Amino acid sequence: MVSYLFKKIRQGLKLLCLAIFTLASLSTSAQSGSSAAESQFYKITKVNIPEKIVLEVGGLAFNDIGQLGVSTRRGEVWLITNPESAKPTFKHFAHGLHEILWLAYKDGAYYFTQRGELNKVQDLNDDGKADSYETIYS
Amino acid sequence: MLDPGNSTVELDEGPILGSIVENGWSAKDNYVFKKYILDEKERPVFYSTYGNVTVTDKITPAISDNPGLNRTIIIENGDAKDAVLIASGSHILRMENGSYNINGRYYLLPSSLMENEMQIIEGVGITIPISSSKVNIQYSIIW
Repeated sequence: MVSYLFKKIRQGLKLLCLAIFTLASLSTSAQSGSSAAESQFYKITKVNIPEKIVLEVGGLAFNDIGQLGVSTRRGEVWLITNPESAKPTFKHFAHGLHEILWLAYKDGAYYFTQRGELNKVQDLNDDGKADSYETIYS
Repeated sequence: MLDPGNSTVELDEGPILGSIVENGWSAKDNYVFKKYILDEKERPVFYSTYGNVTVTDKITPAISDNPGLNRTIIIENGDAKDAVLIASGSHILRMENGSYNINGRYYLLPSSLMENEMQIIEGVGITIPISSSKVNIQYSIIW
């Protein structure tokens, strides 16, 4: 009875190993296939960054007018106009923050997480620079 | 903290809203920082709350007759039982020019309108009572 049980367990393990290897090989082939498929829908474009600007990117989000918002580990948010062009324009939108990771845009405001808190940042006087720094949660 | 001319001036820490009690001062513990908004010169105005009470706090450099800092605090919806602690200190001396020496650390120069409201509480410091639904406090910090 015991030997029969061990035999069944060994058979079960063999089947499990076979399933894992099959999934792994399928996944590898799927990845190479998906890259080709993705490129039909999502084009990877490199953004030209001026030498004087150092971006250690923590988050990306487009706003309503197509500017690409970029948050950085250095505590800044940049707005890039025409990011796919040869000479994109960089605007220093927000600064003085602490290691921003993640960025989102909704209803005229940027949201991001920095060390210890979640913030909402807005440009209230429409000069292209943030002037309201609100703590949403800390 | 301020650091002019290689000397360090330590300003007060902690909540500014509270009440005068038998043993001295009881600070409110429901302080919540809300946001800061940069003015036209990119200087921050800080907004915070104590429950339903809102506080606006702005500190700017004084570049006119009295070099130092100008501070404006606006308290809205405050409770008449409470007060604002604008300087902590056990040794407060009024000087001839109308300023107050705070424990020998710095001078507080109140606006002319504010001086009548000020109360010096022994062992606590200088307080301003919440006399209306909107209290506007202005003074300079000189050192």
